[in-house]
Amino acid sequence: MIEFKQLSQWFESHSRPMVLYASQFVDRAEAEDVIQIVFLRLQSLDAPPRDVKAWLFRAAKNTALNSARSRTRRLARETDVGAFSAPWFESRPEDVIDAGQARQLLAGLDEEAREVVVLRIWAGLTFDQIAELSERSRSSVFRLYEQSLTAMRKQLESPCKNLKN
Amino acid sequence: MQEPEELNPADREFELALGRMQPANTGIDQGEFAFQLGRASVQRQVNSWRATSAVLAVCLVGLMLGTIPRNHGPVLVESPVFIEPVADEPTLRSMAYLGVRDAVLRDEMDELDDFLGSDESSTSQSPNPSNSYSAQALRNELIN
Repeated sequence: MIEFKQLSQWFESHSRPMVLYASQFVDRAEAEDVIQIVFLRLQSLDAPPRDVKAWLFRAAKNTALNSARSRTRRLARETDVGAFSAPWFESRPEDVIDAGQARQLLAGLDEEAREVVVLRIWAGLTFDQIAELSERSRSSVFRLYEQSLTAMRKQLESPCKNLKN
Repeated sequence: MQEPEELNPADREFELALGRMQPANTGIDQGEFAFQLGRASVQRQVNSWRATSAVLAVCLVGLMLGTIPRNHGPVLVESPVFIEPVADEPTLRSMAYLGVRDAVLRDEMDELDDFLGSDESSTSQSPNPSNSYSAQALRNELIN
């Protein structure tokens, strides 16, 4: 059985990026439910998975997708992604990019690209782990990541276009 | 793990800027969630104990059933039956007594002497153990 202290540490370090990641599939409130379900499932395991971080994000994705499928919330999720009803990032003065702007940039990506960016930047997964999780080759994951960053950066560098949006 | 792919400097800088952003705090109450985790952990232990107890109980019942001797076929029970005592068949003694009694009542004591005289002669000829009740004894019984 996994010790409570260890679970708390994992929750402390991974819960935020996990909620951000799950928010790509379901709405924010449901994403939080998903994370709790995932940690309860982790707690019920006899031994910790070999790669806990990858396991957590894979479980979060599967649980979120099951939840979305069962409740047919796809339309609501897309609406939520576009509506910016709940913040995805902390608003801090020292950040170069505004929190709302960052969310807008992410929301502009398609689902697969957004997933890769979130897993790479905020979850800290390697390209190999992302490739396994998203069932793609490592090179295609990298290409998608690179294209996504370039697209977001270009969008950020064109303020007039952003104002229009 | 080594990452051979390299981003161009502009993208790399943008990646770093994004990476410095902190994902929003979750709305999960960590204290409440810790309680849930603890409760689930305890529930799991309780369930394992319940399962163990159930298995042991089943084994115990099986053991008990295995040790109880089994009876095959119907069981015969002999219940006591009360039988009314049956009156004895009239013996020679009682028949003789009744005969003498009738005779005495009818013809008074003279008849008794006649009866005793014949009886004594018959008993002397064929002594029968069942007729060991002597005429004299009968006479004494009647007189007394």
